[in-house]
Amino acid sequence: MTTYRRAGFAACLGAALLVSNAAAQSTQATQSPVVKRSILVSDGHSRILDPKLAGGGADFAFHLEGTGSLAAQVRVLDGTSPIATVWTGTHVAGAPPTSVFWDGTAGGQFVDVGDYALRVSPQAGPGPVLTVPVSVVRLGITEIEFQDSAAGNDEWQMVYFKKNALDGQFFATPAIHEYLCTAESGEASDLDLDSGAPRPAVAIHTATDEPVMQGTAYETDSFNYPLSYLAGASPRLEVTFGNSATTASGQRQIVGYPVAGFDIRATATFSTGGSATSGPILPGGTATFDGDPLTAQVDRTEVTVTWTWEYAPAGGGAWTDVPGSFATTHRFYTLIGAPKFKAGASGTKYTGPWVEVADYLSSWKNTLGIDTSTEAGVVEAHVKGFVGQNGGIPTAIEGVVYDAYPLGGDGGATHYHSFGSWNMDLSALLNDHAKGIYVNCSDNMGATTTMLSMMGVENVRPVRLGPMTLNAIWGIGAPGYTLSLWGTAHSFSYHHIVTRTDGFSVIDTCMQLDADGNPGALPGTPGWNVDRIWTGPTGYDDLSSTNTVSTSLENLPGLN
Amino acid sequence: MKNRIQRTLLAAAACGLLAGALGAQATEPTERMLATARSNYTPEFWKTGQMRDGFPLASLELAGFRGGALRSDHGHMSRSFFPADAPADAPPAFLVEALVADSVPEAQDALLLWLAGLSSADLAPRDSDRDLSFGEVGFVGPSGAGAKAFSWIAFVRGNVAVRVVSFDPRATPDLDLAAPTKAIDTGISARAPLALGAPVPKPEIAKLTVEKKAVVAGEAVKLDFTVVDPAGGQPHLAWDVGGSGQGYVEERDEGWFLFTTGPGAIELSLEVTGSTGTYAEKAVELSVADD
Repeated sequence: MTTYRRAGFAACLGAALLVSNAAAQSTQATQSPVVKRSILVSDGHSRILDPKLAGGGADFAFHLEGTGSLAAQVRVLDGTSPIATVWTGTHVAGAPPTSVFWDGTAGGQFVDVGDYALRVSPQAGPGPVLTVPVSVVRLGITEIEFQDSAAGNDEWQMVYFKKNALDGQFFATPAIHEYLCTAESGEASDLDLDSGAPRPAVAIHTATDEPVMQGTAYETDSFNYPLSYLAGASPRLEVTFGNSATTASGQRQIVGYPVAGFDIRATATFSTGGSATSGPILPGGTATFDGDPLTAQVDRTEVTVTWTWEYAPAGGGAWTDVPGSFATTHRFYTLIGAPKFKAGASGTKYTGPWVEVADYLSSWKNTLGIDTSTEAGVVEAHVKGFVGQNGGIPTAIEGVVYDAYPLGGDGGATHYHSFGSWNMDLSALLNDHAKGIYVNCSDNMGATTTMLSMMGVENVRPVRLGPMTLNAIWGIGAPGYTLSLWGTAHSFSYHHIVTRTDGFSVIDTCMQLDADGNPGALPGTPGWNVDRIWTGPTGYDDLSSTNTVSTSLENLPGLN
Repeated sequence: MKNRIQRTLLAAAACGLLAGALGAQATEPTERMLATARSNYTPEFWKTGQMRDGFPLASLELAGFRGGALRSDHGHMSRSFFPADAPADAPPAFLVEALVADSVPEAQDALLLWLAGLSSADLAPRDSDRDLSFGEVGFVGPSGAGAKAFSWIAFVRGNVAVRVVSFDPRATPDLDLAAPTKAIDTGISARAPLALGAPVPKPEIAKLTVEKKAVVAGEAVKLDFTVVDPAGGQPHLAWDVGGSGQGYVEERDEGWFLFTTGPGAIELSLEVTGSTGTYAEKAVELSVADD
């Protein structure tokens, strides 16, 4: 990351003094008799300004040397024509400098890009005059492409799963620019609205299921999509600078730079504390900025980047701020590892983590206060959040309920997982359980394996268990423990759970076991199946059932 | 508690042996589940029906209900149905899932896989156990929400497998799931049987080309394709952007376009579910350079 020391606008003082003295010399013959032998001296000014930046405009400070006083004014000249009066007042020789600020408007409207001058002169009659040149430009950003950090392969596109409210419609955030702020069709320019006002930064797209739409089609001109990075990675931003602006009359105009004799560069200051600065920039050009390391947790964070610009004499010299700034805010989802999908799977749904899945994980992590800087922590947050009914999460994911007669369902039918295609219809589940409120173990296995895998957990696989004579269990979405899951019978023909250790320990989001030391009787005490070891008196095998249970390791399902 | 012998085995597993054992036992789950279901439900004794050209789920109309959009996962169709007078944001009443298979055994396998998913150790009851009859073979999932409520009804009629699933029997305990199921079965039955040995007619993707085979990310690529529906109806189109490149397909006034959004190789697949529910797909490749 590049750090630098800013030079204030006083850096222009040397050059401005020359201008001031030259002006004084040129006007000495016409000095007012009231201020004999007095001259106006510049204390610095903004040579380049963009009034459409927040706080943008030109600073200008000057003082009167000599004796007496001067009733003066500061006007803006377009060529030789005054277009605005910035200040009127009386200077007293020897008093502290007067600082004025031109906001870049004339007659209440932003001026066009181009060269102007600020002139201090007597309000009436002859007297000392001080004239400084200024250049109005338009600075701004139209695109940001978030890239891998310098370490490489740690940034992924995110995936939405709905379009026009229909699930199973997949859209990956554009790799070429996750942030885009350009003209809508028919508008004059990218950086400004047709009124001439600056185009505001695009707000974060906060929906987690459907991307930004324009009517029934995907939006193509303006969006700010979330980013996905490996936890602890430093995002790299490739920024494209705008090359078109709009006049006050609504006409397209150039952005007014490069300014002859000056270089302009940009700085990104991150709300996380760091900053990075580009080399000289050009309209339509790009520059790359490295941000601070993101959180080491699997989480959702937002980072605001304050964009500022500086100028310096071409070929060298101190950099001076262009007053004002522009801010963009970005949402980052951090993963524990690279997203993983079914071997050989191909398609948009496998491009990267789904926004809704990543958002669920971060929500569960924060609601439950779980450290997700390790795979074990991610699994814990997933299991406790997915199952819900604990710690501020009132229901199971999407409000689902285990499919059993006493709960209004039937005999544990599969609704979302397909054995034929070996795919999990995660998009339907996440769409307000679009295939019904009931789920069974294969549905929960399918959701858990695919969700944990896309968050980067390694080697997550299904384990199919054979017939089980059950102990006390608490099914997902059920009101509590039971010893009669089906009303009378209490056994499984099979059960589907999850492992990330090839079966040494297991994960189950379908039901909780009874961990009170007497697993065959009520009441039950929740025993979360978070990497629960398979064997032993507190192992899954003993707590879940009384018979010998066969096990079979299976492959990660695909996605719908 | 497990017995002593089992504990010994489990102790060995705890030492790390289980991991290796399970890893070596990775199996093809679909075949295993089918084998179990065949053993439980003995499809060799099921009646078999005549082959038909399909089941037009996309255009299916059911009295008292409003159908949602068709979803098709490589021909595995599903469509939600809402009460006709329900507000737009109301949940569906039930979901219809269907597969038009190339053969009767393939349709029976689809039914078997639905049955194989049941966690209960009890087998699913036949429709006839509840004085109902669907297809040549049918099963029901009685719901605990009401005396006559069903969670689902599944059947096979010839080469068509159908499952009708109640969205939330607790909320609609009086929903007569048998009525729409019967209407569906009657509709399939009414279609003319295929001649013996005749293949199931499928949509034909006669042409699929891209305007350019090599583009820069951000470019839109015009698509040219021709689809012939087997019944002259309206086919359901879906596009899958595979490979390392990225993009999406949308229709504009000027036609269909692939809008590229990321560099890499793209295998663009057109997935067509015909108006009769049969399926075909075709792919075309192009390369997308970084911008």
